Amino acid sequence: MISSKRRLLIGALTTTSLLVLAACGEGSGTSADGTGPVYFGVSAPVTGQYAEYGKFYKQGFDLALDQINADGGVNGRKVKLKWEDSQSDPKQSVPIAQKFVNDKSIIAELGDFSSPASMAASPVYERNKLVQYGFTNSSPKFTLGGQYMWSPGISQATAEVQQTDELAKFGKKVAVIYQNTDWGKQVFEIFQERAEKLGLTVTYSSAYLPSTTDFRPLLIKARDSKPDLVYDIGYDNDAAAILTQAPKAGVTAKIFTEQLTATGIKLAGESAEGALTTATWFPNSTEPRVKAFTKAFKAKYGHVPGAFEVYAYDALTQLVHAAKKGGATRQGVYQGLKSSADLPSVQYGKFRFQSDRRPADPPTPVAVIVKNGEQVPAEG
Amino acid sequence: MIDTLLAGIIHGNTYALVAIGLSLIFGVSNVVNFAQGSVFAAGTMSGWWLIAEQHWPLWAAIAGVCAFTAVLGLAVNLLAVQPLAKVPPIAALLATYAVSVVLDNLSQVVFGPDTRRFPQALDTLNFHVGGFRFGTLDVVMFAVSVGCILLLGGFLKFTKYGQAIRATAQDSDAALQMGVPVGRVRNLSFMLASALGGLAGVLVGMYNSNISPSSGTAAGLTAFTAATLGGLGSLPGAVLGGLALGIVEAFGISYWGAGVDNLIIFGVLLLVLWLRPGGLLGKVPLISAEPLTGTFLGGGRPIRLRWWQALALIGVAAGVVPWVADDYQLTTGTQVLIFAILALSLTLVSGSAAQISLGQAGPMAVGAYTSALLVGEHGWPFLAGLFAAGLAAAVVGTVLMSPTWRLSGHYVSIATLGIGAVTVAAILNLDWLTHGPLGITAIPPPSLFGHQIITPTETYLLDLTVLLVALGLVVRLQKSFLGTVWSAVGADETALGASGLRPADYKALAYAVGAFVAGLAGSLLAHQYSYLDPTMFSPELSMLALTIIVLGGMNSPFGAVLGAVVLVGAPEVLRMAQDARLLTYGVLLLLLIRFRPQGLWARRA
Repeated sequence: MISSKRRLLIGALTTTSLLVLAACGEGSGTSADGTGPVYFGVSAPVTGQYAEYGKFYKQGFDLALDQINADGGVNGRKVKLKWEDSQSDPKQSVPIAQKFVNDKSIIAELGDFSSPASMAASPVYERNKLVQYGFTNSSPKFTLGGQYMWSPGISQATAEVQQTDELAKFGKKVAVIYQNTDWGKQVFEIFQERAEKLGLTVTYSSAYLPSTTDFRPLLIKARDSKPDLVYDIGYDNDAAAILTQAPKAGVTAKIFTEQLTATGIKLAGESAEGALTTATWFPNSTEPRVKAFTKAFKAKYGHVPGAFEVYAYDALTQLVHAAKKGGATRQGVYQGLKSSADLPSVQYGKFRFQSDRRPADPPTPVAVIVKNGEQVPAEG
Repeated sequence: MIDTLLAGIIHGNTYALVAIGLSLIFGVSNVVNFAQGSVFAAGTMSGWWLIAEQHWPLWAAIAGVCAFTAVLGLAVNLLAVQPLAKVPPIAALLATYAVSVVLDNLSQVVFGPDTRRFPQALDTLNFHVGGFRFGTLDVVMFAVSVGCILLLGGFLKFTKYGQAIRATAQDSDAALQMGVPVGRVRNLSFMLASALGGLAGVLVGMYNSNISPSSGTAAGLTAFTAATLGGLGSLPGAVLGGLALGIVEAFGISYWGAGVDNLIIFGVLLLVLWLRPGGLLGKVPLISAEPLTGTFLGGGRPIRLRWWQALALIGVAAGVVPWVADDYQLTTGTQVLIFAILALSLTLVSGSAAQISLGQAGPMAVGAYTSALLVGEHGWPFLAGLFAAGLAAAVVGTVLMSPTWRLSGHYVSIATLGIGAVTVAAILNLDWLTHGPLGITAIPPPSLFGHQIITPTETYLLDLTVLLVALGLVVRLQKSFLGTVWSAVGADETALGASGLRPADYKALAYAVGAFVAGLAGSLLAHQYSYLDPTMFSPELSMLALTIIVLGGMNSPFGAVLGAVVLVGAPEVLRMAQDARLLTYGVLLLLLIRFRPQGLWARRA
């Protein structure tokens, strides 16, 4: 038997070695000395239940990196990313934030995927004055976390009003189902308000958990309320499931989804025909910037991009633009974001940030419909 | 109405298919197989691969998937369950949990994380009743469920192997003495149950049409509820339970909207446990057949720290670490400390009193929200909020758990699982109080005597102080008369009852103290993150807490701290392993449980 004293020693040694390993594994915090690569930190889910979004991010980032570095990077310096897997878990995104903040070579941070993961880490980024670019964090409260919290996602207050206006062209009686998350709930409330102003009738409404796979009971209720339109406030995965299951529930009304991109269309297969949504960009758009991007994406990956790949691509190109303008330092990126009037974006064309750190005057989205597996502009 | 009923039956059938395998294994090995959901998911992914990528016809794909998952099931038994037959069954449960982590992550690495479309190899729209349309697939699924009951039932009743399985389930030692090859029989039942899981995976994958490697866990949890509803161990019960659950869920959604989905499922679970714990078709078994109790004293004795050793460790933690470690390590340290406190909340209830709690995330959530609301929105001082958090968690937990204490063994544990889930679901739906899914933002950092605690060092020291207070409380209680009674509850409840004390009351007290400590951890979490929402308090959080104390040694307060260092600190250290991080974690867990089930900080008795 090992004596308890020896055990104590073993325990102490283990703890110390763990700490040492942590120190080694963390990598040296090199200072931004003006030469060598420019680093951005990425806090995103690489493993875990949200891993597919991390994969979408990577595709968008990698395409952006190819183009940025071919163009000479930032003032001749290559741009590189330092990835950390947060699993979109606040327990992990907070230490990651601390790690990035310690690493002086990192001049800005991209991510995280979900609101809890991002917002739990915001205090760390804010205290240490490192830009946290939460490009998929649609919670209006995200940018309120501090001066260093920025998001190129359009505020729902604007976007949803615009979508409702378009939706009204396709029907007057709407059955709505929405994700029971901060995003879904907020969008629904904005929709309700606008719908009332426009004279639309909400015949049925229900929240659903994002993990829902079977929408049949909801769709049956929606069908029974005799709507012109069934409106889903969810993401591509929900949209695809709803489109596939709606015929089974006997839904004959048109289906309008808040988000539907190539990802969702692929998942829904033939059921996607006739699905409506609004978009500021879609792969078949005739806008030159969208055409160029879709072409490059298809060339690199062999398929058409969905939403999250575009968000990631845009986010990195914007940060690089800011770094070029304000300097490849932490304050430089911050100032660059603040003062740039022409940040590049596949989704909106050029834009600038307004004082609440969200895009100013984003373009109005157009209604699109799925025809033969692709989205084309729709007539109401 | 009819439509909703049909929808409920069809969906409930998907639960039933997974639940059958669960019940089979439980009936035979007395093990709650947490890996069943992962095997099911593996069936879905391999079925997709065979049909969509390799273009096999459906019948061949099903055969292939069943063969593959049967082998997986055999592996699970040989690696995780069989070797742990002689130690407290909680170890086997956690081992299957570790296996599920490994399988899920392996699946993600092999197949990639994307959601993809399962090919519709069977018609899904060719029949209709009124406006509701269903198809061959749904009929086939139903036929499989019914077929399972009939064929499996017949197999178990009339064939030699079937009788061998039943004999092993009834009394494995007696069966061994009668010449039944118990080892082989257990292998057979695992293979059978896993093949069923694989078949379920293919059919349900087709039904859901959107599939991804991470869809297994939720399915496993709901199937577990279905199996419990029907009566664990009963095959017809599993099917009945699945169908009933599906119907209740469909109507519940129809009336109240789908936001209350989880509330319905776990609410049903709790109701079953309160009113008819054996389920619809099961019988409440004798205590001796309980898989989740056991004298943990037999599993190992905690190593006692001398007072000067404890003082030295505290000195290092408080005095040396803040100087030596950098902000990143200190931030990791604060996570370790918070989860150590959470794990500590389990030491009395699950260690001494041997009531395994699978839902500590519930009290933690109550504590976090209480503190966030009182301090953030009503201006209470931090210390008052901290204390109120513990108190609220203790009160809510006690009230919710009180109907279950007259039960014992795994029914209590299942109830804690339900409580954890119901608490979070309630928080999600009580918008007027908790802001529901919007969460609470801008929670102020802790403030002591006018000074705000923001830097990693200060936060670390604050968390350390709370940990030491909690440790002091738990150690003191363990050493007192109360602690002896709790250990008696854990060792032999019947004897305790016979000696004039009421086990139910003491179990409730242990849980209340545990919930108080968990509430403290929640409050610290809320003020550090400055943001809270219900999704942060998942079943994975509860399992983490339990795994920490199993690793550290269930009876040992210091073991809880050690376990937290390993399980919360190690993934940070393992960051070097990047993609394989979680996989490594699962393997590590499995090895630890396999080779040292009494925990790290315990002597083998």
